[in-house]
Amino acid sequence: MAIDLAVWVMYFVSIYFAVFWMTVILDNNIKDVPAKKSKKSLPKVSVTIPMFNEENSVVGTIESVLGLDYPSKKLQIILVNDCSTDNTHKVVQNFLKENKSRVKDFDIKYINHKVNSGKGVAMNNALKISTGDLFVCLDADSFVEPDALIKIAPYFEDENVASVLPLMKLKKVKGFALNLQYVEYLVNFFLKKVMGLLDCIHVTPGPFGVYSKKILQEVGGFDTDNLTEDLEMALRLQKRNYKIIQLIGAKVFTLAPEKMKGWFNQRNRWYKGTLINLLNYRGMFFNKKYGEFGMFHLPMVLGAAMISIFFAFFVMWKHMIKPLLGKIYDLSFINFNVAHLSDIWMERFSFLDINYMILFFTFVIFTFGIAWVVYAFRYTEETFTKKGLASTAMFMVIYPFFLSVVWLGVVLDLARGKKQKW
Amino acid sequence: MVVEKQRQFFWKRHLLAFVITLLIFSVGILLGSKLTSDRIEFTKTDIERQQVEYESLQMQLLYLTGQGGKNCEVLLNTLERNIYDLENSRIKLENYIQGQETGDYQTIKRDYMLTEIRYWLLANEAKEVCPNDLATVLYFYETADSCFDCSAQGYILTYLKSIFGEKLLVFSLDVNFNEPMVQILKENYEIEELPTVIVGDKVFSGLTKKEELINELCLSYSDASFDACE
Repeated sequence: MAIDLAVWVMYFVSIYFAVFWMTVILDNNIKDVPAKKSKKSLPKVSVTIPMFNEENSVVGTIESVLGLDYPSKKLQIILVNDCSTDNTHKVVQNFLKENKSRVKDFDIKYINHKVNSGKGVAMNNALKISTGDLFVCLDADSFVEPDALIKIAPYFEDENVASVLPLMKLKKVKGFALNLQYVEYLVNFFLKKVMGLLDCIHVTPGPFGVYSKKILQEVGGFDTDNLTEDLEMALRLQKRNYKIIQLIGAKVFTLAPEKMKGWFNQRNRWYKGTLINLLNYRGMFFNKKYGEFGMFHLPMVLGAAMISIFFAFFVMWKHMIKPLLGKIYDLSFINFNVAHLSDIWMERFSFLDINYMILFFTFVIFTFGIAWVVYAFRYTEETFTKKGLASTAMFMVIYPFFLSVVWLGVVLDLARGKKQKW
Repeated sequence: MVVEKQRQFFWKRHLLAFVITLLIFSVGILLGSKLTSDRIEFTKTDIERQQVEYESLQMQLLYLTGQGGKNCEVLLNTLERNIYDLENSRIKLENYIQGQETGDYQTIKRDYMLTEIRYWLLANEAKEVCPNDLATVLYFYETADSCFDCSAQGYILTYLKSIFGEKLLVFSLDVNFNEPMVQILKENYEIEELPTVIVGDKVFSGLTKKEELINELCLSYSDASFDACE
């Protein structure tokens, strides 16, 4: 009975989230609001590329920075090799040697860590030697579009702007896992854009997250012991009421795990980090001081996580897996001879057997889901191909289950981790 | 440093979203209660029909008792059809009840249980009066989760029905149901384990595989010309 009630609450809350964000879409201008024109010259920018075993992608990443449509005199490039065990060091050195004439205009720094110290430390070391007004993190598996920086830089005229983020897309879409992630990125970044309209961005991702260096230094740099230091940074900035802006016109492309297992592991880390950081920042929850972000957004992020966990434990188990296993068990006694029974089943069937209430809720949730995807495609100027349609259909069916399994893994990991400590 | 600014909470938007959600939700709940009442209406009408059918059969039997076994064909056919219908309706009802313990359903289910027993008694009488080759299966079950094998046994019985067709009469009784008549039968047959299947007089306790039941049924038919019996 209590569980039934919880299922209803879950339905209600899920629909509420969907309705709420839909109203935001419907009466706001989703497109990027151009930054105010200024007579000031372009700010100097330090682009940091932290590297750990990225021998395959790092050259492309550096190339994309060299190719930025931005005065080279105003670009500092800081390469941090966090003690890679592969050939990253050699690859980078060779690249710099071979392209001497091309890179000579840029101020390029190379930091080589003797021990692996994590991304947070790498970023902070870069921050120490950076000379730019803006500080950028560009993961070594990501590739920035030439016009991204010139679109982003003007927004920092406003001194309260701490971070401006480009739209993140997948570099290549091939195979099952990447096709699903293709839709996931579109949908999630569109969501971030919409959340940005209400000042509710809670993560500033590594691929070309641009920060005001002054603010970054003032808040003490990156957390060096964090699963998701980009999420922690956003929470810290929000806590100090700084502004974070998400753009959809500026783009960065990134590589994603190509296998389901890699995707699962990456999300496991992200969500574990999310949960831990949210708990650390619990003081912001339902705190009027933080407006929409504290009163609704953070509780929603945690609520969505709880719904996923609940969905995994109860709905999936009780209404899907258990009945399915039960049916298989039952049918095994008649050797799965379903055809034999079909006549009797047909005779038994009446339209009242269909639970049209559940059908209605399913319809509502799918309608919101489809509308969301359509908006996401439209505003990110992604063309809706046949392949995209197939990916979207797959995504809508599989993603809820995927999320649940990921969250389940996170909960189990955390439970196990605790035991190990004792 | 903390930027001094008044951060906004969009309470009007939340109110709007809440109202829309409430509307959507109400539609769902309305559909749900409409569904429940439709189902109750449907099963109620169905059981009333079954009871009229029963009265008709009872009358037929009364009349035929004096006839010495002549003109039994119609009675036996109708009897088999009705029992089959009743079983189907019972299964349907039990699916509807799942997770919805409303009082209406309980009353209807009681009607079904009683009708099952009535038919069972009538079938026993009819078998005395009319020459026939019918086998009777009495099936004790419960809908609670504690009976893990009951639903598998149900599938097996449906499977048997698909083999033996009109030659097989299946009566199902929920022993956990608070109906004295069911309790009397339960004690009479000394039911201790669920599911229990009774073929003729033979008692099979616990989940009984289809092969075992087919064997027993084939023995009970005088003309065992079914493929399954070979």
